[in-house]
Amino acid sequence: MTRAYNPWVMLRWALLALLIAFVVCPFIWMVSISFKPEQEVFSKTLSILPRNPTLANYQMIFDFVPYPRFFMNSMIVAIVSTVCSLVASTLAGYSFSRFRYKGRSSLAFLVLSTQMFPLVTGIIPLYLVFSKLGLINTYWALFVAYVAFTIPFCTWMLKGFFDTIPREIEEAAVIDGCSRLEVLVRIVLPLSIPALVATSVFCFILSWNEFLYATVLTTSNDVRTLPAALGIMIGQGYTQWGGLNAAGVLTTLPVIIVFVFFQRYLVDGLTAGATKG
Amino acid sequence: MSALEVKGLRKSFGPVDVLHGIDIEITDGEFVALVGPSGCGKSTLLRTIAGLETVTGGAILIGGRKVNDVAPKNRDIAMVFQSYALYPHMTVAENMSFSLRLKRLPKAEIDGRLRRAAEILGLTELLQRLPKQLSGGQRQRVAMGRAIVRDPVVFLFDEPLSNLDAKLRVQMRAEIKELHQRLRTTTVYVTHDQVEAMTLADRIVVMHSGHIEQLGTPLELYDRPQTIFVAGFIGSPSMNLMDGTLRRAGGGSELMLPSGPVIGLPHLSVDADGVEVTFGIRPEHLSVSREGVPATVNIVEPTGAETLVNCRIGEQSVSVVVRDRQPINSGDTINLKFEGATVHLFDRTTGQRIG
Ligand SMILES: Nc1ncnc2c1ncn2[C@@H]1O[C@H](COP(=O)(O)OP(=O)(O)O)[C@@H](O)[C@H]1O
Ligand SMILES: [Mg+2]
Repeated sequence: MTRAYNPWVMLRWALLALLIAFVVCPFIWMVSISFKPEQEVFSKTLSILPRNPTLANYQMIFDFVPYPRFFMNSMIVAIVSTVCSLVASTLAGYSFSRFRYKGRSSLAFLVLSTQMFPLVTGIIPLYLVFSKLGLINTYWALFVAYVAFTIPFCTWMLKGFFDTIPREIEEAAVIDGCSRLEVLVRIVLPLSIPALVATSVFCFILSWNEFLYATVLTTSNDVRTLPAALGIMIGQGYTQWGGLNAAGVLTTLPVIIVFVFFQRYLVDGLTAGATKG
Repeated sequence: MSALEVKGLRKSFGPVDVLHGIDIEITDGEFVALVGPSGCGKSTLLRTIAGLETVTGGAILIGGRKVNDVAPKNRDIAMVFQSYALYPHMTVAENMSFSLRLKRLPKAEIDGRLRRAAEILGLTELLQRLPKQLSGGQRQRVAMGRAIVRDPVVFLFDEPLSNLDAKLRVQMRAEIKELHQRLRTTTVYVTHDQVEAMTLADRIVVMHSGHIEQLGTPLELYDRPQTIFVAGFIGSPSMNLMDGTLRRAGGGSELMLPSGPVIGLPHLSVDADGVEVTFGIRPEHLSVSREGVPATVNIVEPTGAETLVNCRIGEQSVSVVVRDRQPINSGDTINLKFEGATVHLFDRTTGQRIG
């Protein structure tokens, strides 16, 4: 086959390989370090495969750091934020998609426009508000922050999907005896499962990975989430690189699992609005 | 008793008036077709009857009860949509029984009704399939099944066959007719296809930009169209309509076409002399003969049983249906016989029938 030698194809492969290397190498390095004893981490000769593999780093993060606590905090924050965001976005997206009322399109645009501001700009005002309300260092601060971040994207994504569901199906259900809410629950939501899954995965991963707000809004291990806890493990003078990378591996794992598990839905959901017109 | 009555119904979408005072009375068991060109308000009328659109003015009565403010589910109607609108995530059985389950009928009753409807429509084998596993015709039948199980006072159909290919459409048309003869449920059937309306309906409502042009049995509409619009809309191939001046000539009259030719109509006596009219004659009522008005053949379209010949008298295009096989070719000159045929005269300004 001459096709394999086509320079464009080769270039494409080369670019892809470069991109994959760029994305994957840090992960490989992280996994590698997490199995290395401390003196090997700092050794002058680099090796991907640990010469003396050890589980000591993993042992360490369970013995000297309340890793399970952080993990639980992250789980609670990510799951609650995802559920709340999804419920609100479903209702908002459905309303934007189906109802006609004054100010609908400007409101929808307003929701979208919140996405134009970088997250950092919100941190100081939000900190002040939360401290007045006494919410600093509580789950509530993180719930509110993450739900607020994810609602706009989720609302638009779900609105886009609802727009593709033919109105006549809903009208048939209304004639068959459904109320508006029943139409949503019995007809629209079952048809939107791919979009709902994709949206949930987005919310979950965002809440799970978020670092800035988690660091600023939490002050104790009781509510600190994994990214914030990992950040703190980088000390002023001395850093337990082995332990940090072991914790990093354990923190990345759930994201990878979620992603692999729902990958099919994710791709479906993100493109469904564009193709099923 | 009238099953469905529409009185002075008006509907606007914001500043746009779509229906301007519609009056229809439909007796129990009747099959009424709403026909008209696309955009004339047929679907809007059907959807206001169903309760999917609110009413701007006038009243809708179903089974003698005013339902203007009654929710769709309580109107005792069932609707079949053009796109079928089946629930994609439910099986055929679930689709058909959905309304009954919402009403929380006893399971035995639901099963009974489902089985009966499935038998009538030949869906028994397909009950566990999903809509995407069905052909177009089968989906259409499921949509009808969903309506039948509810045993409503009125069936509403909105162009149910227009998504099917020509052959299947004819077959389903026959099935719908058979179904109506069997169930005798009052039916309002929207279509833009006048052939469908003619073949199915007991009475036809011809609509044109939000008005009723004429309401009558298929043959009334065919034999005595009340307006130019109905004359041109009902009948296939459609009626020849020509503008001209009608003059008295001997005991009869003659029609002068603007481009010069004169058509003699010795059997048609008119009161006035020199009136501007729109003259109508159906292609099947014209014939080719040895004498008559000369016409130049333009296009010949044989269909087997008959041949449609399109020709010109002066600049006026005229179609004629020829039943016997005559050697007519494009470019020939033939003579058209107007005498003794049923003709229709309309006032050119008002569009109304005058004789
Ligand atoms: N929801 C709506 N909003 C505004 N105009 C509408 C709406 N629905 C229908 N119309 C208008 O009403 C007219 C009649 O439409 P419709 O009843 O669908 O016609 P038909 O079914 O006879 O083709 C059309 O001009 C259409 O543009
Ligand atoms: Mg329509």
